[in-house]
Amino acid sequence: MKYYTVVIPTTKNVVGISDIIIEDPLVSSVICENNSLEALPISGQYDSFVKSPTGVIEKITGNPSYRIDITSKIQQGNSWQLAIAIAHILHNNKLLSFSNEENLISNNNVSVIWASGTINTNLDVKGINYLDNKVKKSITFFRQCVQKNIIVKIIISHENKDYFHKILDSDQFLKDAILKKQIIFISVKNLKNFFEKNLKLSIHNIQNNSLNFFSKIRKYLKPIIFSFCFLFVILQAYNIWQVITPLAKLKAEENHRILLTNLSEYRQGKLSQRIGAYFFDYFQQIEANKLNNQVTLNFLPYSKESNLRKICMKKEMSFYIDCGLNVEATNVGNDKVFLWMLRYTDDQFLSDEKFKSVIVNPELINGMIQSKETISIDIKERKKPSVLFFVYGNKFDNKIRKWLLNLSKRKSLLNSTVKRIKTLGYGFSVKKINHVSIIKDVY
Amino acid sequence: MNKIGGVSNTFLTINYLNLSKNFSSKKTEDKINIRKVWDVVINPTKYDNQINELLKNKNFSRVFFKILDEEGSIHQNNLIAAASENVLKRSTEEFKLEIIPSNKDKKIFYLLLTILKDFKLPLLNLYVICNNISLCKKIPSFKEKQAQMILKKDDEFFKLITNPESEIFIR
Repeated sequence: MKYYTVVIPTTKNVVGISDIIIEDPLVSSVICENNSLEALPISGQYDSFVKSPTGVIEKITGNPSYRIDITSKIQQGNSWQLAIAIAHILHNNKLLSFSNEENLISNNNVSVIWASGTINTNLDVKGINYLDNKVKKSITFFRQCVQKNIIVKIIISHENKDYFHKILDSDQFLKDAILKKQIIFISVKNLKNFFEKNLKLSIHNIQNNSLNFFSKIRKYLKPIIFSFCFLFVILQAYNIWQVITPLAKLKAEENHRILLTNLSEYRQGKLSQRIGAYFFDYFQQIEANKLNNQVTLNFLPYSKESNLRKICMKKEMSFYIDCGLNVEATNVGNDKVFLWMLRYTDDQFLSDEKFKSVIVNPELINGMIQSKETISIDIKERKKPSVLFFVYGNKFDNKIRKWLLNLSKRKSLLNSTVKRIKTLGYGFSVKKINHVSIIKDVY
Repeated sequence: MNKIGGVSNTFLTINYLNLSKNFSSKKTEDKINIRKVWDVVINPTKYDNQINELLKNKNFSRVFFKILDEEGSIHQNNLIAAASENVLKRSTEEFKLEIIPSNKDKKIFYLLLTILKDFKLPLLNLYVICNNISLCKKIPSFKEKQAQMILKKDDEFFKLITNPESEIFIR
C-alpha cells in the first residue's frame, strides 16, 4: 500500500503534520505545535473548518473534533486548508505517514504531497496568494526529496495553474524535476475529483445526510445480501435435510408403504418438501441407473431342430417365430445383484377373439446373480405375445415379488408398479414380445 | 476612560482605599499597594505576565479576591464534596466548567468553560484559589460563549481547579 506524507508550505518554511488524533466531540478542534499545550491562533479557524455545518472534515470523516500537531507554527492565513483536508482524508483511509519535528519525511517509502489552497463546502479548491514565496521556501525540501528518490506531488488550485507555470520559468531545478517526473504538478478544481482520479479513493460522506445514509447502506448492501442469501440457503438446506432424513430412514427400515405415502405428499407440499422429495428421487434414480448398467440382457433365439438352427438368429430386434427364446442376464458389476422377472401375456393380445381360448399363466422368477456371472432364462410358450418385467436390486425384497404378482393379476397396475420400483431405487426393464416375435422396450 | 467612567472608577477606588484602612499588619512584607491591586483588577491584561507572581503574595491575593468578589465577577465557592476525588465538572447558574481528557495523552486535559449568562465586562482570566494558594490562567477568546484551554495533569493549575475545596473567579 502506498503511503503519503503531507506538507504545508508557508511563506517561512515547509510544515509537516506530526499527529492527528480524534478527540471527544465536546472538545473544539485544535492545532498545536509539536505536542505543546498551547493551541495555535489558527485553531479557531481549524475548528470551523472541521465542524459541520461550516466545516468539511466532519462531513468526510464523521468526526467533529480533532487535535492535529504540526512541526512548526502557522500563525495566520487559510492556505493550510487543502493540505489539512488531504491529510485528514488520507488519515481516515490509514494512508498517512506522519512527519516529525527533526525530519519531515520519516519514511523514505512514501510519496510527498505538497499542497496549498483553500476549500469551500463543495470541496472546490480555491486559489491562494504568495505562491511564489511558498515555492521558493520549499526548493530545499524539494531537492532533498529528489535526492532520496521520493516523488513529490505539488497540488494547488486550478486558479493558480498559470501563475505556477510562470514561477516554473524562473526556476530551472523545478522545471527539470517536473520534466523528469520527479515532481508531479497537479492543479485541482475539486478535492473529491482529485481523490477519485489521482489517488483512487472515493469520498462517500461528502454528500448531504440523506445521500450519506444511502451510501452507507450501499457500502453494506453486498455483505447484507450475501448474509441473507447464505442464511436462506442454510435454512433451506436444513429444512430439506429434515425432509430427506426420515425418508432415508423409512427406506432403510423397508417401510415402503409410509415412504411412498410421504413421498407423494411431499411432492405436492411446501417448497422445502418438494425440493426434499426431488433430491430423494434424484438419488434413487442414480442408484437405479447404476443397477440398470450393472445388468445386461441378451435375447438369444434357438432351435433344437437342425433345419431351423441357421435361421434362429436374432436380426436386430426380431427373430423367427418358430424358434425358442433364452434370456441371458449378466451381472457386469462388482457386487451381486438380485433379479426378479415377471412374464405375463399382453392384455391387448388376449382381447383378440382368436386367442380367447389361450390359457395364460403368469411366470415369476427371482434369483441372485454374482459378480461377472450370467444366468439364462428359457422363455416357454414364446409364441404367446407377452411382457417381460425385469427388476434388479442390491438386496432381496419380498415386496417386489408381491407387487409383481399383483401386476400379473391386474395389468393396469403397470404404471404404479413402475413408479414404486423407481421410487425405491430399484433398477428395472420392461420388454414386450409380440405375436410376430419382435422384442421392443416398453420402459 | 470617559468622564462618567472615570468618576465611577474613582468612587470605587475610594471605596477600596477605605477597605484598605481596615487592613493592618506588623510585618513589613505584608504591606501591599492597594492602588496596584486596583490596577490589576481594572487592567488585567497589563499584568498578564505578572499576575501569578503577584498572587503568590497572600495578602495581595486576599484583597484582590475580596475586590473581585465585591465587584461582581463570576464566582463559585468551594464545593461540598462527598469525596476527595478530582472534580472534572462544575457548574453554577453563570458558568459551566468541564474537564475532558485528551485521546492523544491521558495526562493532557481540555478545560471547557461555557458562560451561561451575559456579562458586560470582558471575561479575561480564570482564577482559582484554594488553601491560600491562588493561580490565574488567561482565557482564550470565547467562541459561542465557550472557551477552551489545554491543561497538563501535573500542572498546579490542574490540581487546583480539580480540587473540590477551591474557589473559582472569572473576570
